[in-house]
Amino acid sequence: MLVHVRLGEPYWRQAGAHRLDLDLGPEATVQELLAAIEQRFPTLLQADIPPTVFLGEAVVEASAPLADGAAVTLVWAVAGG
Amino acid sequence: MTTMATLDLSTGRLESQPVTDTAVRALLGGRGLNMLELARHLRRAGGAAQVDPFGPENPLIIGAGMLTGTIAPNAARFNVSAKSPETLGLGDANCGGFFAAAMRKAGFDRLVIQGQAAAPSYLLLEDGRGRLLPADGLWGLPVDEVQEALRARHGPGTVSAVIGPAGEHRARLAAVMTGKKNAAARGGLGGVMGSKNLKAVAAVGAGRIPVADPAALRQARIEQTAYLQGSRVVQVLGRLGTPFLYDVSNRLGTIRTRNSQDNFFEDTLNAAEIEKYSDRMLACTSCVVHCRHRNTLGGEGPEYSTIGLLGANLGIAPTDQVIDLNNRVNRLGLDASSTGSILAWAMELYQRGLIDDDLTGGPLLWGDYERVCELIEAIAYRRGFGAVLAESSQAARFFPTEARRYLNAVKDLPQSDPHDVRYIKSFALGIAVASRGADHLRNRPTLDILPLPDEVRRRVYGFSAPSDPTAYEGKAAVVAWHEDIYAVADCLGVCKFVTQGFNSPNLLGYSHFADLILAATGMTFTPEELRRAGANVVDLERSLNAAFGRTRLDDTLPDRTFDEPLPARAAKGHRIERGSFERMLDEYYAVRGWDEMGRLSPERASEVMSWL
Repeated sequence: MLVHVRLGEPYWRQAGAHRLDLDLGPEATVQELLAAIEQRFPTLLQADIPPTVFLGEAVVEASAPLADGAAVTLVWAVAGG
Repeated sequence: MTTMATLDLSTGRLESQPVTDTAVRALLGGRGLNMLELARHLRRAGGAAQVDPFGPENPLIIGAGMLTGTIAPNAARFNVSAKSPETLGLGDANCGGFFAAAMRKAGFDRLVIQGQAAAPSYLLLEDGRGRLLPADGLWGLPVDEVQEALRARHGPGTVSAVIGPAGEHRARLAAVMTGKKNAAARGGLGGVMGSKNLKAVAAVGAGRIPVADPAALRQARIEQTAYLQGSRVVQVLGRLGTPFLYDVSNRLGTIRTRNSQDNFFEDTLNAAEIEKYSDRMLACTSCVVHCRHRNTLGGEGPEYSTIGLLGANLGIAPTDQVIDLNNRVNRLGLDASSTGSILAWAMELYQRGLIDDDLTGGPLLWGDYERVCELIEAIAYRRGFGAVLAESSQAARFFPTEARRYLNAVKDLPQSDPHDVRYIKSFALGIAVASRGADHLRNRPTLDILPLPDEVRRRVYGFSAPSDPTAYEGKAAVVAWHEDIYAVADCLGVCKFVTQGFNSPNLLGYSHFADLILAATGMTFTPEELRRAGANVVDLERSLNAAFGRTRLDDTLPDRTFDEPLPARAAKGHRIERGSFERMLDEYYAVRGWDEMGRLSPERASEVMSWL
């Protein structure tokens, strides 16, 4: 299935693109999406601080299932000012 | 040895005395010792509640952190404290830049400024001496120009903390400023400085700050710098500054928009747009982060808070307009957070028909950049409707009673940052209990937004903390943990961007701080003793707030936070449920060892009084 990924701050800078389309296996979850991104950009995600993942507009956990055409956004989970 | 100098502006007399070891062990320096002096002086002046914030009896205290000016990482900071004219309560603001290091190198760790000068003046600190000089040719100048004029008079190495026109006109949201943008912004303490006829404190810092073991401090600096530079959050802040936080809050639906009626805004304020106007990243004394933009419109910044509060909160989307507003408030010496919050409040009152053109002198419409420019100037000079807005939260007396419902403030301090607290419940508790009012820098548990593994949370906090950011239970201890370590950072003069818990579990913690203190001062502290010092500061501030008449009823949130769910995006539907909030407050008081009304125990109150 094809998943459309928007990379928020600051991930897009390292990836060199704001958007990615990833072809994942059937019944893939967010966890598998993150693994696919890690394989393509090995230093993009941090092991100890996972990104906040939005599926559509909802925040979802790593176990959340994805569907063909899903729109996923990854942003760094920070909130200090 | 830490010293404190007391200057009476009415007589020009300056006296210096050492601070006792007992006080230093209990409260370290910076914010902690400032609070001690504030409590002492307000008590002597007849009681905290009675003192007129613009009266000569209100002390203006400028205190450097214990490590400030040394080579300890990010040890640039100082606190300015007084009774706040904005909140009529505890006033305290923390600031970076280069001034505090220069003040210490000029021979002054802490200044307590009393009285009122007969005519506009400035204080020159040099070689351990202080001279009060006439501010001829300086009064009336904006923040950047007065500093330039002082450099021209006293040499290029002169570093100053100043007020702009807003402070001179006693705007209740005026800041004390240094550099183009560094601001001791919160609480209107620039207005207190203006009420004393004091335009600037200029330091010519040619001396040396005594260090107990320079080799050990150098080694700690090298090791801790390497550790910090390995942190992703430090790397990203050094490249993008705080504007990158905007996208995160906006995506979540937690960016305060149009006075918190909405919760998301335009992407024109994302870091990628801001950086088009940035030509360089700048740093403060001994900084390893370099988070401050120099912008191509002639100023520095904007920070995330300013982007949110002078942008989304006012409905202003064009990037260049928001950067220009940032530069304007800085030149005039206004607190960007309070200015954005108060303008948004007035706009909503106008939108709702609670105020009209008779009072405002013309329309107040969302997104009206020209009108905002005009009003910012009017606030600083107290002209027309600007004179009303210059009262900040105290302007409520000019508005219908219902207006208070739409004021985004706690303890009368407008909220400092643009993050809407209805989604992450610990953030809500944090701004409700923060000692100076609605402010994220007292205790924001930023780790609550990170989906951290449980073992990481346990390692940081020393206890198991729930990971769900929307949960109420178990959050009180998390807020208290952050509150203590941020208090310690403020006492040491260390920036929160390198303090453990502020957006990362991996920054400088109590053990790092203990190493730095030992090398810099020769004083030994265990991590537990340092955390107790943080708790001492929190308890001292609590007792000061009690003297101001603050009670549990003041540890609350704006009505909208309870009554109106967030309207969109991931945070849609979230609000703070009143009963759950009160239970969270009970839990927080219990964690702090306070009674159900939020009062210190009699034994603890006696101990706090013994420091005075």
